[in-house]
Amino acid sequence: MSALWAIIVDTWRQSRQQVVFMIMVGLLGLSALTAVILAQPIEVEGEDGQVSEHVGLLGVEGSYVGLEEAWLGIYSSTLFMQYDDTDDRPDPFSEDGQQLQTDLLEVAAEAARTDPKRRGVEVLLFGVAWMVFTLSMMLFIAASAGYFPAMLEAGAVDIVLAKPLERWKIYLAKYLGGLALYTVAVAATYLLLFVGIGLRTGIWHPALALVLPMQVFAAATLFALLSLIGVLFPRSPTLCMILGYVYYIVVDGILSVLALVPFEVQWMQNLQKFLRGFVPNFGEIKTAAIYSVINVPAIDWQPIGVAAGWLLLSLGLGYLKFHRTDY
Amino acid sequence: MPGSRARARLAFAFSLEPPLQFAIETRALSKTYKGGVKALRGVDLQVPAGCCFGLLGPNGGGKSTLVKVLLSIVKPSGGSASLRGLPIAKAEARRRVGYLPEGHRFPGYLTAAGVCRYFGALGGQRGEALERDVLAKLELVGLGEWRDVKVKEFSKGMAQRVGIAQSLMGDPEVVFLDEPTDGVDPVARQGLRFVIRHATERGATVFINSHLLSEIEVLCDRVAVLDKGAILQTGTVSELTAAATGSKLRVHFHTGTLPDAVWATLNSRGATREPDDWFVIELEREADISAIIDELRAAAVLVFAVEPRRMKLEDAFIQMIGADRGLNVARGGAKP
Repeated sequence: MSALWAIIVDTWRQSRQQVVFMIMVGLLGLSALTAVILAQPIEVEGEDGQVSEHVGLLGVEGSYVGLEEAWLGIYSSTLFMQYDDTDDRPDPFSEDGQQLQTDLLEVAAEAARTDPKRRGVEVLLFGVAWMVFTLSMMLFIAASAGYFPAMLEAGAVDIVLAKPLERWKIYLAKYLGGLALYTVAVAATYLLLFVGIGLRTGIWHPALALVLPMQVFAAATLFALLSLIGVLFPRSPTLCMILGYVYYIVVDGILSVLALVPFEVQWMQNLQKFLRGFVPNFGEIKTAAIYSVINVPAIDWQPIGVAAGWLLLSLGLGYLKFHRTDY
Repeated sequence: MPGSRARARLAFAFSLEPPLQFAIETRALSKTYKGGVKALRGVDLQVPAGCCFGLLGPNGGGKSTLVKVLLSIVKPSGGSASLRGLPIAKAEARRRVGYLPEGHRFPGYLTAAGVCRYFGALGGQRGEALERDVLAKLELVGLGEWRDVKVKEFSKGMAQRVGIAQSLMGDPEVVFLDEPTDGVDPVARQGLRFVIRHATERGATVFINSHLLSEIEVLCDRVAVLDKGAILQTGTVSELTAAATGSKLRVHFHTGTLPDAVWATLNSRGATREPDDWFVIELEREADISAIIDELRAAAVLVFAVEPRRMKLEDAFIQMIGADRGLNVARGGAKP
């Protein structure tokens, strides 16, 4: 355990030297602090003379109304997530359709029950979670692309391999080390956000923590792929980073758009199904993660299953290559 | 320090396991890289436990590959090998094994103490014992005052000393040093000799790969010559030099001017001239030295100095390797 811990700690030391990682940590912290500063508790006197508490954005008059209205839209949209598109939605007169109508009515009732101040805070946290997810994933690619190439550098890897450790332990420790850093950075951001918003508005929203598992899972899948690329091209961390971005932004983006296009031709529809069943859709995982801030959505397990498959495949292939290579 | 060597033996005597005869053993070990380069061709080697062993060979001869195969950094293509009595494929074989690779590159963000701490921890050390060992090993290589300085600030020689310190973390039973004197100045080289002797005196087996044959000659109990992936010769330094020179004695004479007739006689017996009125001749027995002196005196030649010289390891090595390389090197003794 001591040896594995040493590799994890070394990854942390390595990261502290990386400007990108520190930029990531800085930006995440800044996002949380900005949200805390922007969250402005206000009191509004109604037509009946009653005073109600709300949360708006500092310096934006009337913003509390927009936040509270957005809450309704976000909350209700979680009910539709289980359907791929509008065609998949059940017939309103069917049993499922009736249930959906009941659920939507329940949303309105829930909105009426929920404190307007809380609704404003939840929407604000939703927005920050979206930003934290996006920023952290984009910068984590740049920060982590060098972890494996640095370890596998000629003259550096030799001594590590000469230690009484099986190669799978070295590989796994390096992988977990990188992932642990991401998890700590993101968890600290959410903690800062939770405490900051709680102190500023008096609304404590522990559901914010529900974002973390899916976010870490998305990062784990991406980092497993970066690890594989790092082992395949150990001499070029830049290439690893570029391939990581190409995969995350270009491939995932194109496939996400393709999946939404309502193709008429059968073979195109089959291609859509194949792509959904073969390529992880980080967009859907991100949606499932950040909507949890307001209401745990009916999660579509397909992208999660596909991503889990990629995670295991990338880790397995990466380890296999590491195991078989002469250094 | 005979005392510490005796203590090491005593420790073996009271241990439950029988003392290991060979720290390293290989049988028909071979390695062919992708692309067909045969780096090792059936290497058979036995390194006695507790000795200082030197592996000699030209660049590309397979020395580093052999060490890397023994440490499972490179997978063997055939044959078998054991380290500390265990098959090299087992991670346990590398427990209490130190390694200084050639051209090592330590992470620039680590201090000298950080390097030792990191690799000590990877070797299974922890807590107070680890911290004590870090300081002890840095003191041993003369870097105690530099322990908190980042290695990226170090000169090549200092970085090499950090490398040696980390290889000694945990007092390993077997230490592999690949070109340990690389970039080290003569004073530090002297210190390195002390460090290696210190390790062997506590019972460790030290395996050195080096081009600096004078170091090997001074330090090592046994040596092997590896060329083109095969072991050419194994033995003590004197056995190797004897193999190169045969049983003959090489004697250098410093004399006055030699009359032509005297030189013709000596030349016919294999004598060769050297600068400043020296000549060298190889003789079968020491008694032959007196006979030569008598002959010179009889011809009224002044004899200023007579120096029987043992062949140096470097000469023997060059004779072994150089002839195969097509170099203009005369073989000094018996045919191999």
